[in-house]
Amino acid sequence: MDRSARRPQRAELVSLDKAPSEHAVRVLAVDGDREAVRLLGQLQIRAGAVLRVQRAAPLGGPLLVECAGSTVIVSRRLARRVQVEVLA
Amino acid sequence: MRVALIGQPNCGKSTLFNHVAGYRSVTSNYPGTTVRLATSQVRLNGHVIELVDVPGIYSLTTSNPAEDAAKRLLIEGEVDVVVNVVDASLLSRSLELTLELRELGLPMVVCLNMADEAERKGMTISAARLAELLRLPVVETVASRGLGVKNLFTFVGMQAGSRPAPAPELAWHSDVEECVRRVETALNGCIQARHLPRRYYAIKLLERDDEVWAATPACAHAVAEQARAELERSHGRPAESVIMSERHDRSMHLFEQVATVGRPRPDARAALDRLLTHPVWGYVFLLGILGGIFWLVFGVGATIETWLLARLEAAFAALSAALAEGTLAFAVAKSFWGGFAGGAGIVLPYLIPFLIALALLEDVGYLPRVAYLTDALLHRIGLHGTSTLPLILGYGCSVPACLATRVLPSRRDRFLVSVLATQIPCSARSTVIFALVAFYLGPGWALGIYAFNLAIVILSGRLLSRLWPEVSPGMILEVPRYQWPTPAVVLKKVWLRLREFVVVSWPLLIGGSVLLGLAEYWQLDRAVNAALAPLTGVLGLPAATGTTLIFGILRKELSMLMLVQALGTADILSVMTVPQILVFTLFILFYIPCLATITALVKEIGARLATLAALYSLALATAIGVAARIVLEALAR
Repeated sequence: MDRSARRPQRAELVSLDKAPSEHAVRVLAVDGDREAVRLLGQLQIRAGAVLRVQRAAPLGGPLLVECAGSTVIVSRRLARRVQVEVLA
Repeated sequence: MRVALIGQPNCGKSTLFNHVAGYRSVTSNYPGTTVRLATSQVRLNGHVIELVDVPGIYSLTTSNPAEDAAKRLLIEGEVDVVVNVVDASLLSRSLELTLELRELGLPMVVCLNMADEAERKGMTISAARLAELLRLPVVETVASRGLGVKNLFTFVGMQAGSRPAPAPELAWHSDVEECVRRVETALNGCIQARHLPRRYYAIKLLERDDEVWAATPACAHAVAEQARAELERSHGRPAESVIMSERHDRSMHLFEQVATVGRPRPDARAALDRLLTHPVWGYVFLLGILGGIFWLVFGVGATIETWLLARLEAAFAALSAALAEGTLAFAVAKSFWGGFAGGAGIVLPYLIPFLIALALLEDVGYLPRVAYLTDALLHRIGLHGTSTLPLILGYGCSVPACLATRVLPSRRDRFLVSVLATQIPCSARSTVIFALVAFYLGPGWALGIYAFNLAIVILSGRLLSRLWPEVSPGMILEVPRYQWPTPAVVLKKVWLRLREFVVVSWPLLIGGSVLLGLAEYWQLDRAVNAALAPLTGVLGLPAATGTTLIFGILRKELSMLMLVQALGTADILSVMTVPQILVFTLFILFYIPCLATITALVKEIGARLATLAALYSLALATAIGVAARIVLEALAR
């Protein structure tokens, strides 16, 4: 699927792995066990943070996510636990 | 005075350490390079300092052995001054660790490193204002160029013995502070002879840190549980998340007070990154880069090897002219020279170009991009892209590869990657491939061996991950900025890695060669060969190869060198068939790791799992050897 071809709807709520690339998104919640929440949180992927998915690796590979001035590789499994709203 | 360099991964701690102590700690442009404490005694500004380079941590709640080592050093009171190294270009995030370290109440100096990168991002930071708000000295540095380092250690000397003053600006919201105070009061009288402030323990109890929970008396747990429940009720999320948010909030507040963000300078690195992580071009470049390294190592190595071996043979012919063949003196001289020439003429020509290429890849910052590109593939064998880094290091040496597994979060991942890394052809085993297969059969065969090895590693991974299913939450890895490698640092790193071969393995190789020469002179090798005859027999190898397999456990390249010694000729094709050469190489490639690797395995995954790994590799090597023998002999008919 061409991720960049998707256009966000108004205040669309999705998990991070479904977020359109090159759009700002705000984290609403991070689900999952303490360890996953902590791993994501220490790289600033936590409720309230504004992120941008740069691109996704093919064949179900990880995402490249821009966050607080740095770029982070996030596996799809972890990305599925991050609920975001797409900012207009 | 003991000074620890503490900071988030890839903030330049090891660069600072090496600038002060000389190049003793391997630096690379990716998170998690430092996996164990590196120490050095240095004399700075009149003080004798024991400087400690500590693995990077994002917080004091740790999740892998490398981070645990960093935390233990701080908690166990073995540090006189903490130098908190901060990547200035990631200031708001880095300050969260600064605030957490401050909670330890240890003498501390903040080192605002990579000030040049911050400038490039358009950031202007007031170090003076930050020092005022943190009530700690803050010194700007560019460690890669040595800027500000002398000034930093002047403050370190002044700070020894003085604990951070209270900073009202850093107080949390009143309801959270109230909970912390309540747990602190409960701890009053419970904690004795602890050097850390009660506030630290109270916060960690609220965060439900398992280690602190186990180390504190039960009398405080009830109060902590009550406070945690209260925070969860009022904030609608877990207490540890509330504490994390408080630190984040204070960090952002500090950042806004001390930094202004202007227009960043145009940066070509973003365009380069888009190309190198592209869903199609990224893989084209990856294959091109890895293939280029293979041909560079082989091309350069083969040219140097041919030139060097010719000269070494001529030198030995001249030297041995005075000795009568068949005497003990001749046997010793010949085997000594064989070991020496083996190191100089076979190992070094391949090892040096490979280590230079690996150092360049590491310092440019390309390896995390490789992790990104290969994660999906590694998932097929139950691993993550983060495992790529140890596996790639495995092509250099299995020992640092095993040590690099410390950054992996689960014991299962560390075991699997350690086992697979030991199956990757390290530079020693590459020497066998180059000097035996490529030299006698051609480079195409050598490439085939690498491809076959990769296939077996993948199958091995699938098998092992079925036996021990995955539980880790998946990959999360920070991607560093690209950097120009500094030639001096690359050469020092290559020397650091090469030194072990020159000072340990090479003498061992010469000693082993002499020992085998003597065994052969007194015909003792026959007993070893007879004992190993069932194995060499099933593999279809000449009985004389038995002793070489024993030497291969000391160092893999010894097998190759000893083969020449054991067979009594450098023209291997005159005494071994093509299938035998291939079976011998495949067996060497997969059987029991060398002694140094076994030691590293025991250290990283424990004696039981290390024994299992060694037995698994022996069984795998025998199975592959026998299968290869059957197929190759059938094809040869």
